[in-house]
This record gives sequence, C-alpha cells and structure tokens, in this order.
Amino acid sequence: MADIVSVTDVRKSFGGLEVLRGLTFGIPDGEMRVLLGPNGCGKSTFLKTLIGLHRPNGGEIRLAGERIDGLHPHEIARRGVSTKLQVPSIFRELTVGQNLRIAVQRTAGASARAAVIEETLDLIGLTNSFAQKAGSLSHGHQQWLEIGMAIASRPRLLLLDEPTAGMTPDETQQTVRLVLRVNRERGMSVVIVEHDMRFVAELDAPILVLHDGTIFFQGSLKEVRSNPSIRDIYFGSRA
Amino acid sequence: MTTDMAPKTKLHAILGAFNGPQTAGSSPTYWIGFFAAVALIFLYPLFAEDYAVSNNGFLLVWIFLGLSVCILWGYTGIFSFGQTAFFGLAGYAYGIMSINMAPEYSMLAAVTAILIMMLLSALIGYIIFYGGVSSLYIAIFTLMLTLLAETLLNRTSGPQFIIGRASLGGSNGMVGIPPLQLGAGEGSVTFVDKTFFWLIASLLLGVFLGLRVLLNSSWGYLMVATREDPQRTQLFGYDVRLIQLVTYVIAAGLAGLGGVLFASWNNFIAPSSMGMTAATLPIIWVAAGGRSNILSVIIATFALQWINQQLAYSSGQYSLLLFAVLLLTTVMIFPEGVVTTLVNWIIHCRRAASASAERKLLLGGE
Repeated sequence: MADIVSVTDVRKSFGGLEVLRGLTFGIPDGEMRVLLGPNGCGKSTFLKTLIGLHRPNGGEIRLAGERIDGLHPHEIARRGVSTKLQVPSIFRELTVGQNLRIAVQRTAGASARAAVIEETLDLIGLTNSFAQKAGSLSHGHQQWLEIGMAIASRPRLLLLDEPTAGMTPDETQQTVRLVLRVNRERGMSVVIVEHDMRFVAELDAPILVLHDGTIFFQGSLKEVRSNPSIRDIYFGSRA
Repeated sequence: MTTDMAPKTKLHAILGAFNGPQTAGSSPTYWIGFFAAVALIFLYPLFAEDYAVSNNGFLLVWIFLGLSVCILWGYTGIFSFGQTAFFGLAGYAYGIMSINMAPEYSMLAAVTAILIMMLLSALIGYIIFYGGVSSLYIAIFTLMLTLLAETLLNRTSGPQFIIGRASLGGSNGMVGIPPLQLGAGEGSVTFVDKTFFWLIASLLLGVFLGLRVLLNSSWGYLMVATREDPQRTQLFGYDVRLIQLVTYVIAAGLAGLGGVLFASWNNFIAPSSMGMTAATLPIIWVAAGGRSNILSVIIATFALQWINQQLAYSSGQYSLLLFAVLLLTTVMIFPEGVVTTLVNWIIHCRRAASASAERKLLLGGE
C-alpha cells in the first residue's frame, strides 16, 4: 500500500539547537503508528513541522505523494490532515455545537452538516453537552471535543499529540475505543504521540521510537519493551 | 438527525438566515419588538421638528463607525485603532468629488468614496495580515495610520491643495460639501433634515440586517473562530489571513459609509475627524455597549454620542472625563459591555437558554 506520509531526511533547528536530524520514515495509508520517545526528542516538533506550523530546514515531507513541506498550515489541512494538539486547542468561549460547526463547515455541505455534527457528538459521547460552553467542559471532555473536531472534518491523516494527557483511566479506555474505531471503521490513517504505555499497549499499533531527532527503532510494543537500548534512552544506562 | 433541526420551508430558511448564535435575539417577540421600534423610528420625523430630526440623524451617522470597530474587534479579534482614517478620508473623497461634480452625481461620488476606502483598506490589510503583523502592532499601526492622515491633511492649507473647485483647507477642513441628492431636476430628492434621517435609518436597517446574515453565516463563524483561536482555525483548513483581510475591508466600507454621511450632513470635514480623540471614541462605544453584539453597539453609540453632545454644549471637558470613567468601569465591572450585560440579565430573568434552542439556531439556521 502507498504511503500516506513519507518523510525523508527532515531537519529542523531552533537557533543552534538541531531538534530533527534527518528524520526518515513512511506510514502506509490507512494504518496507525505510535510515536514514542523521551521528552525533548522532537516528537511535537515533528508534528508541528508536518502540519506546517514549523518550516523544516531541509528534507521533504509528502502526503499521498504530494510534497507538502513549506505549505501554509491551512493548505496542509485542506489536503486532509487533521490535528489534535498537545495542549487542548478548542474555541473555549463557544459552545460544543459551535466548535463542531466550525470544524465541519468546510467539508460538510449545509444539508449534511447537522448529521455529521450529531454523529460526531455521539462518537465522542458529548451529545448532552451540545449547548455547553467548551471551556466549561472537564479536561478529558475538552480532549474528546478536540479529537471529535479533528475527526469530524473527515481527514485522510489524523494526528493526535498526547490525546489522553490528564484523562482518567476510564476516559483513556474510551479514547482507545474511539481511536481504534476511526482507524478500523473509517480507514483513517492515524499518528499518535503518547507517553501513556497502557494506552499504547491497548492500541496495539507499530511503534516508531524517536531519539535525538532521528528514528531510533521501529517495531511492536513487545520488541520496544525488550530492547535494552530503548530502556537506556528512557531510564538512563546503569553504570 | 431530528426533524426539527432542518428548516421546514424556504421561508424558514430565509428567516433563519437572520438568526443564529452570533447575534442576540431570535424569538418572534424579539422581531415583533424590533420592527415596532423600526416603525416608530421611521414615523418619528412626521411628529418632530426639523432641527431635532436632523440632529438625531446626525447621531445615527456615528453608528456605522461603531459597527465597523465592532465587527473587527468584537467578532474577529482585530483591535483596529484606526477606523477613523477610513471615516475621515471617505468624507474628504466624497467632498472632493461632489464639489467638482453636478449635484445629481453625488450618490455616485458617495459610492465611489466608499469603494476607494475599501480598496485602500485591502492594500493596508494585505500588508498587515499577510505580513504577519501581531495583534498589538496592528493596534499601533492602525492608530499611526489615522494620526498620519490627520497630520498630512492638517498641512493642506495652501492654494496648491485645491483640487478642481475643492480646497482641502488644512486644519480648518473642507467646506461647502454638498448634501446627497438622488436624481436631477424637479423630481430630485436632496437628503437634508427629515429626508436625511429617513436615508440614514434605511441604511442602518439594511446594514443591521445584512450584518445579522453575515455574522450568522459560515463566514461569521469563521470570524468568531479567528477571534477565539487563529491557529486552531487555520488547522481546520481556513486561511485566517483572508478572513481577517475581508473583514477589514467590510469594516472599512462601513466606516467609509459613516464618513460620507457625516460630510454630507455637515457640509464639512476636517482632519480632527481622524485625530486621537476621534479614534478613541469608537473604541469606547464598542467596549461600553458590548464588543460582540451589534445591537448593543448601536444603542451604546447613539446614547454616548447624545450624552457627548449634551455635555459639549455646557462643558466639553467633562464629556471626555465621563467617557474615561465609563471605559474603566466597563473594563473592570462589565467586561462584556454595559448594554450586553443588561440585556443578558433581562433574558436570563425570563428564561435560561435551552439546549434545543441552541440546536435550532445552530443547525437549523441555514
């Protein structure tokens, strides 16, 4: 299957600090990948570079074969990339319904809009919160709303940066079901940046371990867990 | 999807276009009250003296400038301190053209002056928004523009600043600007006193209803989204720069309309219409009324300009003092605006907004 995302030798520096050092990998269309790595390894920087918030210093990023590095964020989003950022990024002063309306109005016509919004509310379990101000939702519900907004625009590639941060175990379980559902039922490609290993285990998706701005390891969670070098990266090598 | 979400008929869809979460009031009671008030406003000149009617017409002129700031600041989050530049320059542009043209072409001069302001704003807006100027610097940049326009026009007192028959007049301003006129000869209508009031009231009604449609349309949602979180908005595939630019041009058109009407009523325009005090007043009207409520801004602008006028007759300096206190009070006690807070209080006394009402407004609005 062709790659939905193809990343070749992507480099990104901030001043003298080189965060991404020739990142290279591909993700087949319709599949899910989890991006793991210790703090500061460049996971969020990569996501922001992919969606156009950062401009790479070198290399190329392709979406379904089309080069997208250097495009403006709205142009990348229009090509079918939807993002849930690390810090909940919703329209806090607007209602849940208005948030979803804004998310879907570009991709769903006026006649289909109501159905898409209702379907998304049902998917994220916020049907009864339609008229509630988004900023007054609990942290977990705000995370779901943002995921719902990202899904509602029916992207080809869904990027989730720490989707379960601050969630209760029960909410995390529901998020697992939500992510698996959109990946399996809708065929949506998903890239997840996550620290919560229980969540990663439930997803049962191939893992890319990022270290020092490059892909350090690719494999299953079992392989990641049994790899002593990765343990060293996370916990430091025992002298 | 439940059946009550979709508009039942075309009439429902048309009426629904005027209602939505971005504007206050959507119930039949609201609209009955609104049109009753409109009828009273249109009937008022029949029962009042010319001077009072003309003066109230003049007070209505400022509302266009207030709405210009409202849609920019309140709805799109662009704090422009310089809408008075478009107001004043439109007045000058109308003055130059109307003085040099036959009276029957005054409407053409008015429309052209407004279009020139929209073109000018498109150029300025392109530099601001596509140049990535941050919000704080937008305020400074736009204030600088209006002060620059004032300064330049203050220096136009010599004979070299006469365009055709129109003298720019330096700090004394341009005099002899003709009133608006429709048609030529015996059947023509010159808009002064009562006819001017009806013209302004009609334009205001059109602008108010037009803004309700705009703000509750998909474009209106994008304006509000841009105000709330520009980055999130662009990550949904919307070009925030374009949203800001188009809104800026629409706002310049509104300010320009106000400027043309002001010059036409006053037969005069001066650089002080673009000065620091003039630039500050619309901010106070909008902040005091309620930034994201066009009806509140209309009420606040009219009321504050009336108070300003009354105080100016007796002691002008107290007027500015009162406005300063009002701005501080608004910021500290009524951050949503005095009028909006009062209206919300009345509405909440009557009934809490229900989820079904929100659903109907949001999903059945188009």
